[in-house]
Amino acid sequence: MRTRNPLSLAKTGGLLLLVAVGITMLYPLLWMVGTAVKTNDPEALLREGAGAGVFPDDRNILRNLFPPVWHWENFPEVFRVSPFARYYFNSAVIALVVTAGQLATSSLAAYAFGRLIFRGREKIFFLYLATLMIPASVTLIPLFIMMSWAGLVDSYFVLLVPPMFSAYGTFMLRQFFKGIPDELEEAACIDGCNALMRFVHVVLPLSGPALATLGIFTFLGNWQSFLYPLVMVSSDRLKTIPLGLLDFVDQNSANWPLLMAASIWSILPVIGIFLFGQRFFVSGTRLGGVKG
Amino acid sequence: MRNKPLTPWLFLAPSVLGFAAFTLFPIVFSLALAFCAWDLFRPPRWVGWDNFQQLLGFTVREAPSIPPGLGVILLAVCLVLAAGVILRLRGGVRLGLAVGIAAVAIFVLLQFLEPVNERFWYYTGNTFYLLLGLPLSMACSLGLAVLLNQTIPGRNLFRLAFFLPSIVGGVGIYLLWKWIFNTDYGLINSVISLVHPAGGPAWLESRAWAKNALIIMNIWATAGGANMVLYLAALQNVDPQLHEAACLDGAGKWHQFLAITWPMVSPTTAFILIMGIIGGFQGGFDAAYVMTRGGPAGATTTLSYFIYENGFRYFYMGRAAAASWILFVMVLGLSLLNWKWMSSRITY
Amino acid sequence: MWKWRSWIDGKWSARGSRPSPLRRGRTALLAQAPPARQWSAVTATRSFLGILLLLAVAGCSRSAVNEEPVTLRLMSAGGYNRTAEEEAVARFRAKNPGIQVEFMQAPGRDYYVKALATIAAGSDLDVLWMGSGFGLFSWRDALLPLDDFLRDDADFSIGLYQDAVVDWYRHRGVLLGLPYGIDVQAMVYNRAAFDAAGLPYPTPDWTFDEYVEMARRLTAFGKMNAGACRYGAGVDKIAPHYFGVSLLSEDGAKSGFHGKAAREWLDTNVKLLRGERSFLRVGAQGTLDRLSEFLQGRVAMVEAYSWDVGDLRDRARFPWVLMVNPLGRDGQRAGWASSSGFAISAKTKYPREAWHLLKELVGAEMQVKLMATTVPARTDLQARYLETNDIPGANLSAFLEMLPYVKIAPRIPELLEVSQENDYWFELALQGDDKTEDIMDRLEHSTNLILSTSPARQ
Repeated sequence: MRTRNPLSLAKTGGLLLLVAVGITMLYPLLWMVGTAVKTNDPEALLREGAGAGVFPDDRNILRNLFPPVWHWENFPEVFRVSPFARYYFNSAVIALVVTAGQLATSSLAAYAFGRLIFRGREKIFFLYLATLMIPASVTLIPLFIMMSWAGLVDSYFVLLVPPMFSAYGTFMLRQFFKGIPDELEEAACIDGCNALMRFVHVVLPLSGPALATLGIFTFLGNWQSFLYPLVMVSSDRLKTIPLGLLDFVDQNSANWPLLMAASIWSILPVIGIFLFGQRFFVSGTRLGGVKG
Repeated sequence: MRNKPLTPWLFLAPSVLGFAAFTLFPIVFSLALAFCAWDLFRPPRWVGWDNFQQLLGFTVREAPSIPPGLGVILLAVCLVLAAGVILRLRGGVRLGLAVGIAAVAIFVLLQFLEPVNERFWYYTGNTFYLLLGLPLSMACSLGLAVLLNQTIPGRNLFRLAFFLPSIVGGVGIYLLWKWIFNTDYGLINSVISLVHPAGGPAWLESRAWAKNALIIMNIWATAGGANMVLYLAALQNVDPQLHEAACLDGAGKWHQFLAITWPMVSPTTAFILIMGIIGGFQGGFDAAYVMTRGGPAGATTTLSYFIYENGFRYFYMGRAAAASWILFVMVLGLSLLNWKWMSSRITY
Repeated sequence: MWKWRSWIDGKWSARGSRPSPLRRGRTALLAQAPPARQWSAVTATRSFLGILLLLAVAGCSRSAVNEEPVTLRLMSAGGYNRTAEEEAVARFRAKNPGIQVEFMQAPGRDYYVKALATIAAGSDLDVLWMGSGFGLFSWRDALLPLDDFLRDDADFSIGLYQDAVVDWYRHRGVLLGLPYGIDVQAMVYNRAAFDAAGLPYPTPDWTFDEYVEMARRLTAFGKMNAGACRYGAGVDKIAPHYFGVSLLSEDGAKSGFHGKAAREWLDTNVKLLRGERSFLRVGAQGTLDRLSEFLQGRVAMVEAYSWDVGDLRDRARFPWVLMVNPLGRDGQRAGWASSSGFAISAKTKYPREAWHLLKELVGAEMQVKLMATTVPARTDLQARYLETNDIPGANLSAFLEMLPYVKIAPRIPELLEVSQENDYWFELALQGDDKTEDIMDRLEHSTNLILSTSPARQ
């Protein structure tokens, strides 16, 4: 029955559960922050005591989460020790360009599949759908070979162009475009106008949330993409952040404080984008095939 | 709406050109490569079905574990039963019996045949096992969404806290979890040893527990993520009056959940399931590469790691391409099964 | 902009000559539609054109490279050598102005794979660091033969280099690389830990069984006393040479693991690493690497490599001493060794310039600079190894004393796969579920299968 007391037992229990889950979710991230401000320098460790190291011997994890002295200098150190600024630049360029390109090509194609009539429309779209299920591993090897024939391995081309074409974006946007009533387009084109004008002036303005959501997911996906750049790129000047983090990892050991500091650097833009794009998320989720 | 015949093709041009160049052509190329042996330095050699034979093939055992005569008899019995089932029985019983007969037949056959590459089947098993994390993660997402759907203080803060793990990825997080799962000093075993003196399992050092560790890490990373947001959106579509009506009728919370909430979110569940299957089959690479390098004795090697290893470490391009096609067939089969199963169960 | 759109439409309309058919419709649309974000059409078109422009630039940037001055690309694993490499490059550029050198760094554990992939893909790569993975390249004809350069170049005296080490870079008689250093392995022990436990120090004629006994006693002592070394010894795996077996046969064509000695090796490993846990398995899941465990005082004896000297000198907080490897069960002394050097990619576009860079990278200055991390390959410089690395009490001569005993593993093209296979069965044995005999048989069988069906040898 409806409860009048807003903090009923069930609700308090639920709240406690949420807090517990929240702590579990956040604990590794807290550990990450704590490690990022620790130091590996043996002199400093001697001064600060037993709990200041990354892996203190005693088993009390909670006590040693944060060191007694916070070494903020690890954050700029990341940029000094490795060409991290370059990795940042590469990741940003790739994520932005691929997202823009994907939005452009997918929206154009989705409009064609969703609102224009032409012969073979359903067949070609089915082909797109079928390739959605093909794992990335299938195309990775031939793509590598093709690019090496073209002499384009280890270049910006291979990092920017192939990821721009995704059937997923076309699929999602087609669903959305199909949902726009015909009357709107017809009303806007009383005197008759061509498809491009209808697309640009009618459909695109209405698709803001959908495009934004797709854009955010694409950006995030490309920011964190690991296997594809790992295979395609060898030189330092083209590496992205996920690959660049491996700079801090050796055969079996890792420079933990710098690695965690670098990880935090790489997370900041992602959090920023998420916070910025939050309002699109909930409204944009309606296009996610919820109705199938 | 009428349009000039050329227009749609101009719209499609960039996407279709890129699709043809970077998706279709590589797929066809990959299919051709699967029948060759090539290490990128020597010229490619056509080997026909060899690659598939080496991965999926079976050879006759030298020492079968049951006498051949008995095996033949059992197989004949299975055939007869199968014929009877197909011709006579109907409905759900038919499906169950058919599966049972198939299982027995396969078991008998396996006593006489052994796989050429039993590790490949093991890696396939790893891939499927890791998919188990998907329903667990979805259940957690749904649970969190239900909890968050109520009006509680700090709701947005909770949502942000839950979403953070899913957007922070990368090498640092994997190594962090590797440390959390450390047998002697890690967080999880420390907590376990508080209640259970013998300590916890040897997570990433043990063949039996390594995959479970990966599943736990995966649940942490995905429970509060996009899936939870999708569920939240779907839950907000549920009319609260339905719940009130059920409450008036005397239905408990759990019953309300089963009868109202679950069917209402079933389209979302179907969507997440299919996307999760497609993604899950290709997953496991990042963790394997950074954390475990394929795990203690291949325990965390999934098919995608196997493909990378064979293609880009040992340069067995043909074998890797063949393995990727096997992976594709599995994905296709499971997606079709899933779609058939779910489409009868989705309520709109 | 207008003209372009109208061209698609097939009719021309001058800019702004009559109100756009869309303008009326748009007002109607805005009246009906729910308030939506005003997505500017101009922005959309501009971004699309921007993408096209970027693509064009990206495509052109590739061809523009050919007009730049000669650039050599040098790939190495970074780490210790980076500073020395940069100095060598600076010397090279001083002698050859107008040639740029670009560094490529590959993640340490996948260095060989990355280098192979780069050469296979035909990407620009001229000079690359070379070590124990030599076979991966030599069998695949990925390296440029150097004999002609040696013959024609009077500046470079190959005679100064130790013959045996230079031979390591020959494949079927053809020289494919040049060494600058020899990497040797010995043992290092924590003298304070031995003092604390009251054990006698290892001596040059110590045997494998004595080594195991010391490790056991130290581990037992460490269990009882907090603050002492927790483990007596730490290894990734106890080396097969202590039992007289090796991973591969002499000719590298078959597995070396057969017979009773191999089974003994595996049994001992399982017993010491898993059963008794008197040895710590370093570098495995959940432990730090070998050197960090030693430097943090958790393990009293580990294998030491010539490149560890710098870290040992700078980071150890306790007295440490090197010692030659203990004698194996077969009475022989053996140890791991490899050579560090550089090679030239077979697909290089600038062989002459690459050769000059190579000479700097393996020259005398480089060897002197890297004296702390590797024994020089030039015999005239080896004499200075001990005086340069003067660490009293550390017995650095142990590295030099190991030199006569080292046997370099056969350089095979399937190196990565065979070691991975070895690791797989080894880890399986450590799980303790299977019998070691079965495992040894299957290890031998699968290794032979890999070696016989490998495409690189055909």
